[in-house]
Amino acid sequence: MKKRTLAVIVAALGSAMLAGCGQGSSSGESAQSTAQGAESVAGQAEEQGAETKAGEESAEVIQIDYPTFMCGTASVAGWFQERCQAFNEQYAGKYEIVVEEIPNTQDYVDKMKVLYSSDSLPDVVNTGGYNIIDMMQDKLVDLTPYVDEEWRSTMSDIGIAVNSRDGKLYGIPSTRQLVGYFYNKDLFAQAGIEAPAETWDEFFQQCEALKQAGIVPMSMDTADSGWCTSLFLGAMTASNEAGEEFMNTLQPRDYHVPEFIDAAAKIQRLFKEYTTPDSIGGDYAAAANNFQNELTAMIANGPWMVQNFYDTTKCEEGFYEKVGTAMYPEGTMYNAAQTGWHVAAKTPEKIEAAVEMIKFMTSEESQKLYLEVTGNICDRNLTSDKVYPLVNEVIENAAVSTYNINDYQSLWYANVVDEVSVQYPLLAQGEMTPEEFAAALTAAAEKNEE
Amino acid sequence: MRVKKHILFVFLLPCAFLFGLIYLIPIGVVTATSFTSWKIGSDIHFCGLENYLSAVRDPNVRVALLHTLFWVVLQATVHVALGVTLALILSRRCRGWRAIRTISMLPNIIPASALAIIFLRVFDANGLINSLLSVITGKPVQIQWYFQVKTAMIPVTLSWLIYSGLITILVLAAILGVSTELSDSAKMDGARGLQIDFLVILPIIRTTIGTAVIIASTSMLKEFELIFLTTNGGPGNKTLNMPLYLYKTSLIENNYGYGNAMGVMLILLGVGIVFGVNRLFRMDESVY
Repeated sequence: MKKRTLAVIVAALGSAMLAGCGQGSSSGESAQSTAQGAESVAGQAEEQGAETKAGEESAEVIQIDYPTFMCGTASVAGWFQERCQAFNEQYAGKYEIVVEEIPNTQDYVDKMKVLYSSDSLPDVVNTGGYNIIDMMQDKLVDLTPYVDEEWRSTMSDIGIAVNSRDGKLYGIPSTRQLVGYFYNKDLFAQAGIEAPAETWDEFFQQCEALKQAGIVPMSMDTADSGWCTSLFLGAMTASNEAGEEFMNTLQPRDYHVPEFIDAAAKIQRLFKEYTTPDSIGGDYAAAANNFQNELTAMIANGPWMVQNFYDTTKCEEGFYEKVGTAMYPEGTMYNAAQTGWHVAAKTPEKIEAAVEMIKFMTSEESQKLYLEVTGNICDRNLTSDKVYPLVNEVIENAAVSTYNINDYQSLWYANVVDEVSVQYPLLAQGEMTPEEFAAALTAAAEKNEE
Repeated sequence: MRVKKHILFVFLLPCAFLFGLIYLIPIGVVTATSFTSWKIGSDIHFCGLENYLSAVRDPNVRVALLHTLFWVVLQATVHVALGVTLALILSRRCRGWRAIRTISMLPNIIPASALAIIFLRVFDANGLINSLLSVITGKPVQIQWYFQVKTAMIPVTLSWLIYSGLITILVLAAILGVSTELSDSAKMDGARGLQIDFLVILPIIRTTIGTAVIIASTSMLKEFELIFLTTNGGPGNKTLNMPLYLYKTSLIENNYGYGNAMGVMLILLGVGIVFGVNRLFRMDESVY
């Protein structure tokens, strides 16, 4: 009798544990869904309230799964939060955006790759310009049938081209990449410099003048992708037509290009003579901090940085008045359309909902707000009185630039971008030649061959 | 009450089920796919030993494997030795031993991300180490410890080598569990201090030290965050190890088949270490 009782207890215990696991998983999903739902209404409702709402409306409300990098400290976080709330209010009872926050675009892209591999991409994807179309084309919805003439007319031709393959539209463009560099007018004046350089020779003369005046010329970095440094590297490469063509090449395999090697040599010189000691190993934040605290005279970055110049928690009051904008020497600017909003939903209802969401996010109202709040440039040709003057200066620079290139992060293989970051310290310290630097990137690119 | 042994297996079922689900099946999948060509956006197909042959030819694999083995050996020797030494000292129950025991554990409970940031700052060009060196030498020192070829291994290794609090706690618990009669007997036979430690205590806690060696050395087969968040394997590949290269291969190059081949190599390395340490410390033999 005791044995039988023991056996029953053991069996019951085992079943309970297994059942517990299953239930845990189920309730875990439920909890996740509830939490995400609560997040999507941007704190309007308490979690319990959102749970009740989800329960009542689950039969009719179509949820749009959208993991986003537009969160945390990202410059677009505030814009997206406001737009998400506005969409959920406008489409209350019909559609609801379910947000999953993934800070950092690289982590976001990595997650999308994993989801793609398991055929579980979310309904809507936006990588912030990172090209996933060539990688995930088979899982992305061709949006051509959903875009009528009126909507299409709001998009730029180049925006449509960047988001199309074989005549099919796989993304709705929303942003353009305009990047030059910022300089500190006061520090330039102290060094006797009147205007930004027009040639690279003049640029290095200005660096020397700044150095002689006791001013560190450049904010540079190597961590992550070495963003600020790589912007200069790309601009130096695109100092003639051949270089411009190379910098607009999608996923180049060979970096043994004279313009690129020459640019790497210039970067090496900048590291050795004209930047701060913390640039080697330093990240974008450190580089930005140096410029905003007037420890350096120049930094390469896009107009989204302008809002920082007005932020008195990051800069001295009135710092924005000291900042000037410039295109790179030889008239080069990063001036390119970017991949935009993609749909990877699988059912017609979800696709329809996802398209509606994207239409909302790329509407004139949303795009104008995007320009005003973030300082990022829209795909639509919009202007606003509320835009910071420095942002307008960047737009004006781009309008007269000679060489227009695309952002290397969007074009180069991801492992090449990573390789740039780990090889920069060697280049900076003279442990490798510019030719060896090009060889290292070529070797990394070759790993992507089929 | 005697319970039939087969009843006891019922208790194992939930654990065995979860182990199978979470470990065995994924290990099987990883092993099987390591013999395939599997990249993002392309079909998966069998390629035999191609991934393993590529690994043999890949200079980054050789470097990463060398670094990984170097850190495994250091952890198994220096790290454990530091932990055991501190445990022996604390076992004397000198004043404040409990506080020291707790403090020694602190680096183990700080999140790796926070620890990485702390270390980056300490070894920064304008960091604590350079400031100290500047004071000592009387000249400004601005060494980029993490990013110079000759120095990069030092801060990376230091970020885990000297923090042996976990080993200390394990070994100390074992020492305190040893009957005092044994050390008293040794004292009566004329043994003193270190003689008791090395000839009586340490042999008795042999299996605990073996366990510590396994924990310490295998931790290096999964060390990722502290390298990824500081040097990312650089400069060049000077601090690259196998877990980081596996990550880069899988998630940046999107070459899952090759990444899984590295995963299998790491698993085999881990099994080899556990087997070797078990033999070395005679883990399955009684200590008495």
